[in-house]
Amino acid sequence: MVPDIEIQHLSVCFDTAQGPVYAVNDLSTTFRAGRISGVIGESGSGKSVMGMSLLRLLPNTARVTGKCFFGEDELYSMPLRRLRRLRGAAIGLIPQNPGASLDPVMKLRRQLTEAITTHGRWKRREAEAQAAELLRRFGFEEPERILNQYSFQMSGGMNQRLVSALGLACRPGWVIADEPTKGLDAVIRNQVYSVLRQIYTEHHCSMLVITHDLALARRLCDDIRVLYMGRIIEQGTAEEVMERPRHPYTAGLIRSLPSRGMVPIPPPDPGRLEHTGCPFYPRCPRAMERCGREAPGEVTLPTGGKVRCFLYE
Amino acid sequence: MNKVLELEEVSRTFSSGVFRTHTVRAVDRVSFALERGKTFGLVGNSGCGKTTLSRMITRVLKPSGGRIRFEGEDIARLDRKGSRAYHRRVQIIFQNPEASLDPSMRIRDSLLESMAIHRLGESREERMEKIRAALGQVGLPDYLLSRYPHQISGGEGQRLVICRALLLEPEVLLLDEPTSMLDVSVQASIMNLLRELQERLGLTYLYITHDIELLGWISHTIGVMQRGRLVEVGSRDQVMEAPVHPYTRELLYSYTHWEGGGET
Amino acid sequence: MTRRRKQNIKLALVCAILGAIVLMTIFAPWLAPYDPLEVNMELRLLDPCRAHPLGTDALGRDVLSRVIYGGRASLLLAVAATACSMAVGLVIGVAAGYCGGIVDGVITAISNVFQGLPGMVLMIALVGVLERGTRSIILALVITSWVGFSRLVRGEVMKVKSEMYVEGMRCLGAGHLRIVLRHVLPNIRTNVILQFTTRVGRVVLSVAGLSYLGLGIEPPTPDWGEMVSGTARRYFRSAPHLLWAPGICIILLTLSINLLGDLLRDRLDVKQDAVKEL
Repeated sequence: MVPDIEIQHLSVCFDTAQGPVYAVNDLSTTFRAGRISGVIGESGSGKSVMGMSLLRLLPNTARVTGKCFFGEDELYSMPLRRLRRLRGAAIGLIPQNPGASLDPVMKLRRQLTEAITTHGRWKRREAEAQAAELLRRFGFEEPERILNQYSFQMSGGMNQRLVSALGLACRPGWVIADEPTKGLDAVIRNQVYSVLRQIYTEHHCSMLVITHDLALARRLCDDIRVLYMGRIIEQGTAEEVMERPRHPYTAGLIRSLPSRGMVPIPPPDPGRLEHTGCPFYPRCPRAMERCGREAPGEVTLPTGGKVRCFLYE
Repeated sequence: MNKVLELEEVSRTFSSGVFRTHTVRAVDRVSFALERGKTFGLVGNSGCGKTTLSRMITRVLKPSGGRIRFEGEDIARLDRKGSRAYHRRVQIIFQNPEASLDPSMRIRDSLLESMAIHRLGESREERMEKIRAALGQVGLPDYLLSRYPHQISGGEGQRLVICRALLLEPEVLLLDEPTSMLDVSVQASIMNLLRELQERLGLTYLYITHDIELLGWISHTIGVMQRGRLVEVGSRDQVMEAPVHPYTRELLYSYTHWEGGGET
Repeated sequence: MTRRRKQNIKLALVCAILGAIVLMTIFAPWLAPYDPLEVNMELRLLDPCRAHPLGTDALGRDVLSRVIYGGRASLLLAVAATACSMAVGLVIGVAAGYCGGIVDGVITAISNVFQGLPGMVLMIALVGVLERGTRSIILALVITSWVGFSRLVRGEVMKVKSEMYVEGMRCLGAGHLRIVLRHVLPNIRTNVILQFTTRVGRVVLSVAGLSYLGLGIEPPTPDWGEMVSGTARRYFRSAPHLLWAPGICIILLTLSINLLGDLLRDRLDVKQDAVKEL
């Protein structure tokens, strides 16, 4: 049974020269197994930090409070040795920027088999056979030839598929895909979508897709959480969130898509910058006076989704 | 002159290998023209030659064949004075705003320098005045002037690069994937700014991107490049609604397919 | 304590040590209790005592005074020699890195020749052949060390040249000279400064080595390297106090210069404080 991932009151703080910065701010949510969950947000929303914190892959300068549960186990209180056994084997990662995630001086054969043999399950020859099979599954027609090459000989799209294969090498139950379509053009984006779909249907992986690409989230994910300044401000099924957004930020974000009008979200109103309320208050076209004073709590909608906005209380 | 910039059978080959035997045609006999005050959108996937083309227009690379004319004059034959004038009137906006600015210089100094190169403005005060006016035009606050490039966000950076270009009062802006590294909402605000500037200042744009959706919104004419060749050119409506070339159809399919929402 | 505070404390400490040495060197005439050149044969090889806190050497000269004066020659020489060799290396490196093509080819060929020459041996040979004195030492140091530095500069210049903002400046119409002076040089300055500090440290040691072989600073001018070498063989067992004072000074000087370079590099790297987008 693949366990759920539950986050309770997670806060991640970085010390900078300008003072402490909260990338993730008291975030609590549960990602249910057996589904593709999407987390969308723009730069600075904290989505990648949240993803990396699930695997304890944050830099030393980060201060983390709160709990992350993988089923019954709490990830931040378990010994590092046990966490390492989880990483890759139970929770796989498909990182951002595949070109930078592959070692340019190591043949692909070694990189793929290394992941498999690290978790001690198979010997090298069997691992190679597995790797070849994995590559074939991901649309590589001549896996033997690919295994002998280096990452810089592959195109961007191929690297993305390779890195996805790498994340799945040990058949984890959960996969975290961090910005899988960042910087890729439209045709390759389609390929990435197909690959991720394939992973879900064939391997029955539960997936957490972190992305700024709204169209990808719409097509791929079952449910979507919208992050803004370290907080989840809306969540619901993909269709609900994208077609009938509740929170003014989500609505603004969708309207700024080229296909939905290219209407920008207004810049922050300088008179509203000092406030103690909702993080979106300085830019919100529907803000009320209350919004500047108190931060809204989470409200459950009749559809089952949730939103953090006084408009819905 | 209505045709501000014209490309006539422009080609560029690269040779590699020990004896220069292996040649690649990055750009293959491309011809099109930019109309004053309008946007020409150039679309194609990575490796289609659009970046090489833009580097020929900025005179970083020389064409192997064909000619590029600016207001009738061949840009490969400009003298020193003509070349400086060309670089003032035709400017490029790159993809990554942070990389376009010298990391060791404050924003203020970068902006002052671009004016100094072209000897615009009599005194520092006059230049600073022009800079403040230009910042207002792109919607940026003054306090950014004392910052370094790594201290500003992507959206602010791109506005600054546009501001730096505007200070020289250009006529043509070459936009090479200007929003591909930006968030969706920031992209929307930059695109709106570009459109507004075009209407107000009569700028001519060559907008290069792999995202045909954006061209549908901002272009008047669209050209499609594939493997170095211009496979289709037409008005915006013509290309977006009734494409002729199969590659154009493939590109359009990639995007409309997404907006269908739903097939899982 | 934040990283920045720790850095500041280290910087202050290193500057204090270096500052003390430099001040000691500058104010030597007022600090030294005795004339470092005054020979006094009745008082030779005295152990440290109240009149002579570091004792006296084989010629009866006060060791403390000689130590105070001893930094002058080494430091001045090291700074001058390093500055010269870096000036030469900088010009050649920038030419090779920025111009590329044939210019780079020719310069690289010449560099290869120079690099093949054995450093210390060549220095000894040169100083041996030319008349002894500071000018020869500087010349020898420059000839043997400009290559390494010009190679480094060449690499840095090539890296900066390929950056987008340099291409952007060309597209803005900037000329080559402006680009080199205002965009290339400032962006390689951190590595250059770091190189300066490590090299000065190394030169101090090289000069000490030359002095050890009798080719460096001429006696009777006090010099730490010469003091170490002059006493090492004969007196290190009977009068160790002659060794450790100049020795510690050499160590402190070299260490603090190197550390200063490191800390300056960290400080000057403008981007260090940015929290990287995750």
